[in-house]
Amino acid sequence: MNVVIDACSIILLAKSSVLETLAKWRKIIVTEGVYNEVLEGKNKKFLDALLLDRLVGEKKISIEKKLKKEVVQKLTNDFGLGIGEAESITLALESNALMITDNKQGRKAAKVQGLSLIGSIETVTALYKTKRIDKEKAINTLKILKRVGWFQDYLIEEAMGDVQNG
Amino acid sequence: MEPEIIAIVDRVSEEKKVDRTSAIKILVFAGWKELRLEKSLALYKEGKIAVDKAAKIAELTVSEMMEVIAAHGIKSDETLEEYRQGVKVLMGSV
Repeated sequence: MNVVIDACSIILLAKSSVLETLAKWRKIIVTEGVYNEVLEGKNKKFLDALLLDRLVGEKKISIEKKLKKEVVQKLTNDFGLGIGEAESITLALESNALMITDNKQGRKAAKVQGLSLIGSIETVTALYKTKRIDKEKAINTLKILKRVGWFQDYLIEEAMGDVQNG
Repeated sequence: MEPEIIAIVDRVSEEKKVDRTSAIKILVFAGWKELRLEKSLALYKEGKIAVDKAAKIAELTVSEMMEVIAAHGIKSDETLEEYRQGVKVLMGSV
């Protein structure tokens, strides 16, 4: 099944260096809005922007441009989403794809739309459990995500436990 | 203009080695950025907007906005149940 990822999670997965590994496992699709949002950091030489640019250039991540504008607009208005987030939810709905998002408001909107939610932390756990990354890499990745300061400690601890005991 | 405001303008003028007009422009711009950031953070904290929208309001990149949000101690509200479900969903769907 294809995976749609929003800007927030592209950035987190890039920073924690598992985005390319995930792209080898699942077909990743981002919307044009997400691509533009992340690439705004290219001038500042942000790692996430440079990595996404490369992976798109190498066709390891696809960009979807054709979306129902009225659905995107409605999500933007109803939930206070930016273009990238609204497009991602629309794309996941239209293509029956999984959605990876760590964006609080995006998760709320996706839940209301009935999408199955996945976050960056569980992506790391799943990569480890399916042997796509080893234990050391998984632990280091979770440590990076902890340092980013985006997640509650209990989530990181649960994932660390899953990796240590897995 | 109040003397304390003039003193601030003069201080910026001296520090940046620019005239008073340029110093005022620098201060207005910095104040504007601060106000935008304050507004976007408040709306994000209240759960009214998403990160990408907050970044737009604050005139920052999404990556920068995420750093600001984290620096303010605002965390994701994902639950353990959602985490467990997410692992199952990602591993189970091929």
